[in-house]
Amino acid sequence: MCRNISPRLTRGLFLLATLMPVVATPAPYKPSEPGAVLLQIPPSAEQVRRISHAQLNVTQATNLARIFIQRARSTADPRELGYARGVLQPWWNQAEPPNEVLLMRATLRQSWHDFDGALDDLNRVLETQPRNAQAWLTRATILRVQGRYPEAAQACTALSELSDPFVATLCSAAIDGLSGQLTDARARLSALQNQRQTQPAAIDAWYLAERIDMAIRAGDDAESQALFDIALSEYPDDIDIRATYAHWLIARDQAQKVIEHIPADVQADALLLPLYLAMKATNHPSQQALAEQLSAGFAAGSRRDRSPHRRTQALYLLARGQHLDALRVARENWNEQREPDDARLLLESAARAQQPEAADTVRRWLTRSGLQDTRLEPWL
Amino acid sequence: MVVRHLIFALMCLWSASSQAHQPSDSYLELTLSSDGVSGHWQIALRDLVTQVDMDRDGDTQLSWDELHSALPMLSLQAQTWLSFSRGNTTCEPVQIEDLLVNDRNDGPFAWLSISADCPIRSSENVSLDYSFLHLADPTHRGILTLQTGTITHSAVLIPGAGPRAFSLSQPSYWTTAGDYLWQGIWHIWIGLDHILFLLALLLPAVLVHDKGRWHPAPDLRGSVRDVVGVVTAFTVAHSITLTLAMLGVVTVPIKPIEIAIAASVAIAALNNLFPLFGHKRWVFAFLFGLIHGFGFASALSDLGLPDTMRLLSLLSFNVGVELGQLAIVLVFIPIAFALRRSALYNPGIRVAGSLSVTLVAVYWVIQRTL
Repeated sequence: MCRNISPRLTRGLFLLATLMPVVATPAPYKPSEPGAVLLQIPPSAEQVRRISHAQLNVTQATNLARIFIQRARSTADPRELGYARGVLQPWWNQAEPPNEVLLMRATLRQSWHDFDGALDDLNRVLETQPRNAQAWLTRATILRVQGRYPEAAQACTALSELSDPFVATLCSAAIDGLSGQLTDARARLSALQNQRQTQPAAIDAWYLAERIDMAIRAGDDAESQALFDIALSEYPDDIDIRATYAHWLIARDQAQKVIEHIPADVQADALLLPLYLAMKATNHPSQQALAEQLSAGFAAGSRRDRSPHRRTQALYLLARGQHLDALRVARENWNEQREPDDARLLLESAARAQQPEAADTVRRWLTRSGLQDTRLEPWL
Repeated sequence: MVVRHLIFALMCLWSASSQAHQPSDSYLELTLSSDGVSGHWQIALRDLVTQVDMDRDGDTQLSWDELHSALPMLSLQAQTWLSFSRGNTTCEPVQIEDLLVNDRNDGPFAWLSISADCPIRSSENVSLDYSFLHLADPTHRGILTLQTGTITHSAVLIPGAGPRAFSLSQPSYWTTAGDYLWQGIWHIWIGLDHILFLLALLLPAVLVHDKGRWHPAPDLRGSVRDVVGVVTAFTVAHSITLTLAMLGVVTVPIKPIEIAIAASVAIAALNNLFPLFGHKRWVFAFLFGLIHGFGFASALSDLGLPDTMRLLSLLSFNVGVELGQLAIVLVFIPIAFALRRSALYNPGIRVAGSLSVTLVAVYWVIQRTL
């Protein structure tokens, strides 16, 4: 009986209770109106119901998988990735799945941060189809995320013979911009400015995202703002551009603008996190609810074999002042992916946890890779 | 074709970090008892609509009416998604007894009250076969908590991974008895008010009050008789009320009980300064023991009694309380007896100790009244 224990113990228990995360236990209810709308049914529901594994051939299955993956990208809903995985089930565990299945599996494995598994699939495709542009581009992307710039640059070179020069230049300039040639890469990309209008939207959005990334790393606020204005007006739903913009605003003490920019019912945690940071900075009343939502998401992620949430989670822990936990997660994250954001995360977590030497691996890597990023300077 | 594939690769790849929502989880909170399995199963409506076509009017919205009308279909399907067996025998199919809606932070969920008839004997293993969404979304997981007696199993269920066995032999009579025995001991030791009450009553056991003065007791025999009287009276009294309260014969609001318990500590301590009961401290121990019993009952209800072995658990808890109490007595009495002639004990501990206990107890009374 806790009520009967000494005041000192009571105080201790109270302290413990306030330290424990508050978990809201929702109460089930019976809606009062029969017509009450509970759910907007997503298009994938019917598609999933109609899948019959006995009747799908590999082309139909990979086409469906492609639709699910694209929808996962636009809605940021991991269930769609699960459906893609489900529709590929008959081929998934085969010893030698067809190439189109390997490409889809590589994409899915990459989304779940199984980068080595994904590269393995791509290599198998390239063994039999060395001119498969999609495989080369996917390979370049994964190697870049892993910080393996020389190999990524080679993949971009291979791509240059197989695809539109705009895409090939974009691919290699992006890698060069990360490995010691930021100024030159920015010039090469801005020279492509006139051709971007003729590109498909996805490639144009990628182009703008690369230029924004470079402008931010160069510390060029004026160009960053100008590029954000263009990108946000042309691709207002692009989650990455919006998330980058939100973090950029927070770093410039413009948290209020982030709250106005991101709707409160957002689901993508790439956006939820900056929204939380902004609410915390402005002491917004909804910050606790958002913290619970983020924590629940991390808990759900940790129940899977792989969690693609480590970067977000480390940032979150840093914001909560749990510096040692943040350092632990930032380290795990660094072993997995090595983009400039990941480098900054480990440097900052190590500094805040009073263990700057824990980020020495990042410092050595920076010397080796030649990465330039003004945002890293305060932590070096 | 090549450009289309490239664009696809870009759309899917150039954003490694924008994961979102929560992946698909369902939540099962089940209890196993001698009758079978019962509990709740929460399934995201988002997941249900991929398995059962419930949108009767085709407006791509799911209304409460549509969900509720789909109940017969859901019941039928649920039997294929989740099944139980005991030993080598399959249990009765899962029944949905009630359907509610629950808004979780990752979206609206159906809240299904489920049960499955299955006379489970304690020596058997129970297996649970979970296959919800195993074809549609192999990344789906079932988050299970399974209560058997005093033990809670937790598991993450992978759909289609085959039956998963849970051992029921764990909460044997001995384990249950041991668990509750220890809880009883632990409760006495962390319940400072019970300890102080007992110590305040035992403090004068090694002394004799005569003509307004306290003298050391001549021998151990008298002291032990006194201690046994007080402790037995306290034990009998609190066992009575603990049992009555736990069996639901009497219900008493906890707040006045807590205040009375604090007051009993103050009175017991004051009695050592201004003797009120003389040799009849056991009467006092009995009267207030009745009240302390309700306090123990409140602790035990916080802990909960298992559906099976209720009496055994209750008895074990009570025995634990007595053992915890006995341990205190066995430590206290020899020391007190040895010190009884010293000024440190009398008047030292008797006066200063009793005064401090009184102050603490009065503080509790105030604290618990507010």
